[in-house]
Amino acid sequence: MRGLHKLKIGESGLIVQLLDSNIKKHMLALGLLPNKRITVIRKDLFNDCIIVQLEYLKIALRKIEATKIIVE
Amino acid sequence: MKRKVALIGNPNCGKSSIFNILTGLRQRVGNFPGITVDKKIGRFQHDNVTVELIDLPGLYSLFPTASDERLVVNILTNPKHDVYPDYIVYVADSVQLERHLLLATQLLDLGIPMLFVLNMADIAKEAGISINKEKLSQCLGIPVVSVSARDEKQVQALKPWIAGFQTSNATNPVRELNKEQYKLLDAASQFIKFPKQSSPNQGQLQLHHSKWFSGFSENEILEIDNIKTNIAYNHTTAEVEETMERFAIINKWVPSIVQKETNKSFSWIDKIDHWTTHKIIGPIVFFGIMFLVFQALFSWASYPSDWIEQLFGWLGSKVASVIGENWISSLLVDGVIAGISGVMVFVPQIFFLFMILTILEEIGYMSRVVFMFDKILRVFGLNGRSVVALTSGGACAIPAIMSTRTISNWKERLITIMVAPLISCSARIPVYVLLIGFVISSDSKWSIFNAQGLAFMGLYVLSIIASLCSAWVFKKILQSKDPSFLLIELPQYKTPLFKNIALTIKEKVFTFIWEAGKIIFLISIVLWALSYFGPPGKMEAVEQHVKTELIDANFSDEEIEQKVASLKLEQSYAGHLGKFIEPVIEPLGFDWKIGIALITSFAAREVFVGTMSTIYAVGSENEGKIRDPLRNQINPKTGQPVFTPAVALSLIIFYLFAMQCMSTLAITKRETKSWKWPTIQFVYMSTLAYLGSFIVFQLLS
Repeated sequence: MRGLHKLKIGESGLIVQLLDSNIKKHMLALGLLPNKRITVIRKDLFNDCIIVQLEYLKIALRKIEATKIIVE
Repeated sequence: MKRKVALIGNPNCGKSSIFNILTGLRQRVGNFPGITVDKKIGRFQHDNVTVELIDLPGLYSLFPTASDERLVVNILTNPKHDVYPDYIVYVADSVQLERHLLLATQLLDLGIPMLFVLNMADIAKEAGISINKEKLSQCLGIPVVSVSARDEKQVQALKPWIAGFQTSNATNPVRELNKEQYKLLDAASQFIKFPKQSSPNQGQLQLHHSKWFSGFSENEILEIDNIKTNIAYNHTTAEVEETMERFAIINKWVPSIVQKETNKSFSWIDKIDHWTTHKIIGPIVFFGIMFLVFQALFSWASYPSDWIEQLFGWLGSKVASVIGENWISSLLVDGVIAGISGVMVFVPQIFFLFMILTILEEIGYMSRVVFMFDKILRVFGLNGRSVVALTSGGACAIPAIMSTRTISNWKERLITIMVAPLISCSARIPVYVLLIGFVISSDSKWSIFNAQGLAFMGLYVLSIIASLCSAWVFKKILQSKDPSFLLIELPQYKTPLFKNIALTIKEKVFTFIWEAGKIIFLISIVLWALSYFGPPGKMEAVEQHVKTELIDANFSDEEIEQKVASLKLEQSYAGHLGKFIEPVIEPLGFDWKIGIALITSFAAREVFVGTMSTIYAVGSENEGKIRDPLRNQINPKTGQPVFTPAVALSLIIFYLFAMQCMSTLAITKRETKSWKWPTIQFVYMSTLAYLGSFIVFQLLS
C-alpha cells in the first residue's frame, strides 16, 4: 500500500482508501472510489501535477492531493 | 402555459450545446445579484407551451465549494428562489454514466420532477458501451431520453419531451436520510421555521449548507450553528458518508444498465495527449499556438480596427462639416464619436481572441494547459488557467481579464485580473516606438542584434517579471477561504460546435460594448470637456493672441491652426491640470506638457502620441516624424533639452507600469462586481509607475 504519488508513469493500482482531506468529497464525486483501478499516465516537468486514467476518465491533480489516495 | 426548466449536469456533459441548440439566439445573459455568475436564460416555444430554460453552471454534487456551484445548490434547495424550476432536465454523459448518476440521485431526492437526458450516445457506442435505457428509467423512476448533442436534429427532438413533460407525483427517494442527517433535521425542526420544502432531503440540505443558504435569517443561522455544535454534527463526514451510500446504490444498478465490450478505447486521443501534455513538447506546442494567436490578433484584427477608426474619422469630419466649428460639433466629434470609436476599436481584438480561446476550450485543450503550467504559476499565487490571461494580455488586457472566468478559485482569479494589465499590451507599442528612439539610436547594435529590438524585448520581459512579482505580493496579502486545489477532468477531444463558439463570442463582445462601453464613453466626454473648456477668459485670450500676433508673422494657415490647438490645450482645464501636477511629476523628469499627455492618455495609452503632437504643434501623428521636433524642445527652466535619454526612459517605465486605460478599469469593475478592485489596481500600478520612473530618472540624471 502506498500513496498514488509514489506510482511511476504507466503504473497502476487499485484504490484502497482516500485519506481525510477537504477535497475527499470532490475526489469521490469524480469517481475516485475504493476498488477502482487507476493508472498514472503523465507527470509534469516538475513531477508535481499528474494525470491519471480512471476507466474512460482522465483527471489532473496535484502531488499533495495524490498523497491522499492510497493504492495497492 | 409557461414552464420554468433548469438544465443541470456535470461539467463537460454537453449541457451548453443542448442549451444553445434549443434556444439559439433567444437567450440572454444577466447577472445573479451580488455574485459573478452569469445567469443564462433562453426560451423556446412548443405547441402552446413556452419553456423558459435556465442553463446553470455545471457541478459534480450538491456538496460544492466553488461559488458558482453553490449558486446551483442555493436555487435547487430553496423553493422560494425566483428561478426555482418547475422541473429539471438532467444531462448525463453516456460514457461516464456511473459517475454522473451521483448528482442525478441527489437531485431526485430533492423532490423536484426530473427528465433524464442521456447525452453522447454516439460516442458511447463507438467506445463499445451500450446502455439499457428502460432499466435506467426503472431504477431512477423517471423518463430517460437519449441524444447526441452534436446532432442538431436529435436535440430539437427533445423539445416535445421538455415542453410536454408531465410532472408526476413525487417518487420514493433513492436513498433515505441516514441517522446523523435525521438527527440534525429533527433537532432543528423544533426551532427553525423552514422555508417551504418539497422533501426532507431538501430541508436537510438547507440546514447542512446553512452558512451560505439564502433562505435563513442571521438569527436562524446562529441557532442552527448552535444545534450543530450540540449534536456534534460533522459536515465532512456527513458529505462523505452520503456520497458513499449513493455510490453503493449506483453500483448495484450499474451491472444491469451498462454493458461494456472490452478492449475498445480512444487510442487516437491518447496519441494526441502524448504530445500535448508532454513535459517539454507540450509547453512548446502551447507557446507555438499562442504565437499564432498573436500573429492573428496583430494582423487580422488590425484591418477591421483600422476600418473602424477610419469610419469614425470620416463620420467625425462629416459631422464637423455639417455643423460647423463650435462647441457642439467638438463635443460630438472629439467627445461622443471619439468615445464610441474608442470602444469599438477594441471589438476586433476581442472577437479574434475569443474565437481562438473558445475553439481551444471547446476542443478540450485548455484543461491540458492548466495541467502543464499549474505548478510554476502556483508559486506566484496564480493558477494553471492564468497562463491564458497572461499571454493574451500581450495583445490587450480587456479580453485577458474577461478570459479569467474559467478560474474557479476566486483568489487566484482576482490576482490574475489584478496583474494582467501589467503585461505590455499592443497599445503601449506606439509609445515605446516613439520614446525608445531618444534612448537608443536606431542603427546601434549589440553584437549582431539590433539594439532597439533588444530593448523592446527587454521591456516585455520586464513587464512579465513585474506582473509575476506583483502576483506574488497579492498572494501574500490576500486572504482566501476557498481551498486551492487542482482536481480537473480532462475531457475527450472533440470537434468544436460552430453554434457554441458563435454564441460565446457574441456574448463576450456585447458584454464588452455595453458594460465597459458605458464607462469609456462617459470618461471620454469628461476628458473632452477638460481639454475643450478652460477657465473663463483664458480661451478667448488665445484667439485674441492669435489674431494680433500670429497673423502678422507670416505663418501658413496650417501652422496657425496647429499653434492655436496647442495654445488652447495649454489654457484648457487639462492644461491647468498638467501645470497643477507638474511639481509632482518633476522628480520623474516630466514637465507640464508631458503632464497633459499623461492625463489624456488615461483614456487610452495610444492617445499619448496624438497629444504630444498637438501640444508641441507638430501636426503629424507619425511616431518617426514627431521625434525630431520633440528633440529640439528646450525646457525653459533649465535651458536643457526636454527629451533627454533619462526623461524618455523614465517615461517608458511610467507607461510600462501605469494603469492608463479606463477600458481595463471598466472591465475589472465588471468582472469583480465592485469599484474596490479597479481602484486598488489603479493605485498600485500608478505607484509602481511613479517609483519606477523616479528611480530611473534620478539614477540617470
